[in-house]
Amino acid sequence: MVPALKNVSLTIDRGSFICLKGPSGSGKTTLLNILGLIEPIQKGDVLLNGQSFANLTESEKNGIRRERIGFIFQSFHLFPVLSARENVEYFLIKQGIQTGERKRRVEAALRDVGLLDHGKKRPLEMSGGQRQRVAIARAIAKQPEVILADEPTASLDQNTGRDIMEIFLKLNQERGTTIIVSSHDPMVQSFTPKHISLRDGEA
Amino acid sequence: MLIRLAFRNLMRNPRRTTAVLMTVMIGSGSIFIFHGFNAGIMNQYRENTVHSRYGHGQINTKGYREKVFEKPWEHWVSDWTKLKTRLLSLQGVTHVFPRLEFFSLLTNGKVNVSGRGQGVDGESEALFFTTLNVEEGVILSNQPDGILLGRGLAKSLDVKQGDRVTVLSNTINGSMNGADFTVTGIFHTGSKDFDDVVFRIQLPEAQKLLDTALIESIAVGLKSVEDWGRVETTINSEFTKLEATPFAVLDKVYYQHSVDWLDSQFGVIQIIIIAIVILGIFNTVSTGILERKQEIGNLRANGDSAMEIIRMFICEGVAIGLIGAALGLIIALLINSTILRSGILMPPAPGITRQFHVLIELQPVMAIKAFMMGALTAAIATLLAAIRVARLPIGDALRSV
Repeated sequence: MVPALKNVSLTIDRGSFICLKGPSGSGKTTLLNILGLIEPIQKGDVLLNGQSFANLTESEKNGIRRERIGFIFQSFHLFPVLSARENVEYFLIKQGIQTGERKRRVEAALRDVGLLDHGKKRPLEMSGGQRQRVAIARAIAKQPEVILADEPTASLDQNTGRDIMEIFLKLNQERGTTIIVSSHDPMVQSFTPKHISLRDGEA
Repeated sequence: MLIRLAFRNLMRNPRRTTAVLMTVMIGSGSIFIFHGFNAGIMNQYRENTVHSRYGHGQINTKGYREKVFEKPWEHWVSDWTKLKTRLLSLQGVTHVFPRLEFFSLLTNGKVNVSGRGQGVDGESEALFFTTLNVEEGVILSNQPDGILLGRGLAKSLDVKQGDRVTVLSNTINGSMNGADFTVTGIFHTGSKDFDDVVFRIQLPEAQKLLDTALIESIAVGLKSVEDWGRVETTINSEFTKLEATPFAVLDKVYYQHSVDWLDSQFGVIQIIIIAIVILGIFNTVSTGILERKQEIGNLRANGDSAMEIIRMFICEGVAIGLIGAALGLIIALLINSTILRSGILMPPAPGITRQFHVLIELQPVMAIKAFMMGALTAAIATLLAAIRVARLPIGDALRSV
């Protein structure tokens, strides 16, 4: 068995905006998945604000993923049967947030990504860029400590990808949200002040 | 939102949803109709048992049915007119039939055959025991010297309607007595043992023959089977030397065994239908769930547990189950009120020698059961299909195509 990552040791400060860069198969997605508690770690540990990820129960992992981490994927993963507004609201319901606060957060998130007037549209009625914005709104509405975005612009054209990156930059600068993006696209890398290069699983 | 999501997810692939709906609909509709059919058959059996031989039940002295006595008349019922009046005053009691059973020798002058006689109130029994199968002649009603013979007995005696038969019997005092009767008809019940020995004459003639004013038993005819409890309570509280036995116990071999057998058969067929429905839904739902692996991965990545994913799919399964079951019930009711309105013609059942129509007797409790069954099978099938995918590692689910 070949390890996907080896000798990776890094510290990411709160409020950072970082790009994991490297060619396909270098371990970018694996590292993001480990940071997001999606993949198990065979050796080593991850600390989030001092809390170790080792020896967490399944229920504790679910809680961290639900409350403290926001995910954005290359292929959006929106519910096709729900409207943009409902997509953003769904995980807030799961978080147990009360109706009033939920509505406020949904509106704020949609406004932040410029989709306040498109709330009633379903994903299939939207462009790729709009769908990715809904995915971002969904992640930021949770108000997580960190957002992990795996190749968020890979399915989009350059201009749309640039728009998405500008949203990330604004979020990072205005809200101080820690954002870790994986991409091999130089355009994406041009937006992030810090880069972590990965090659053959080594940082 | 979860319920809204469940219902909307059903519309993702209308063709697949329709297939699942049809499966649940046919399953619950079939169970509903089959349950009604079973109830119809059981009611026919019950009516046949009640209206051919036993009535809704019988009253004897306590312990009489369980034992064989050397002098049975010492255990017969004496003051039965008072009992008859009391029984007829009870709500739901429509008929009271005093009876006397005895052993005797029958002869046509050439052949002697032993038989078991029943002294009955021919006129009133003729009105109630309408399913006794008289294959030749007429039922015993108001002919004072009439005798109704079982098929086998008539054959042994080689007699037909209008022939004369002499019945010889011992009186309760031990002396020999005899009387001549005219054959009014020949009957059969489907039970050869019974038809080979039993004959019926008027009760006063039987009492004269046995030289007694006693009767052996009282059969009771009711408005409805549910009225039996009242008869039983009255006998137990007011006539402590007597006991009441319902027809299901009196005719355990034919009626109760048939009911038990049909119940078991219904249970087996129900299991087969449920298994077919579960398999049918499972295949279709599995395909749909496999196509949603990435969505499952996304949900899990955002904190949903495998159990929450399973719950979401069960929600969808229950939703489709409820709709399918409701449609199934509606279709079953429509079929029953149109195509099956006059029932289903059935071949002779055990103990009956004629064809009969079984009406599909659909009752609310059956509808509830079929409805629950439809929803439950859909939920189980969905659970089976969802359980494996929900427990996939999150990374694998997200990476799946």
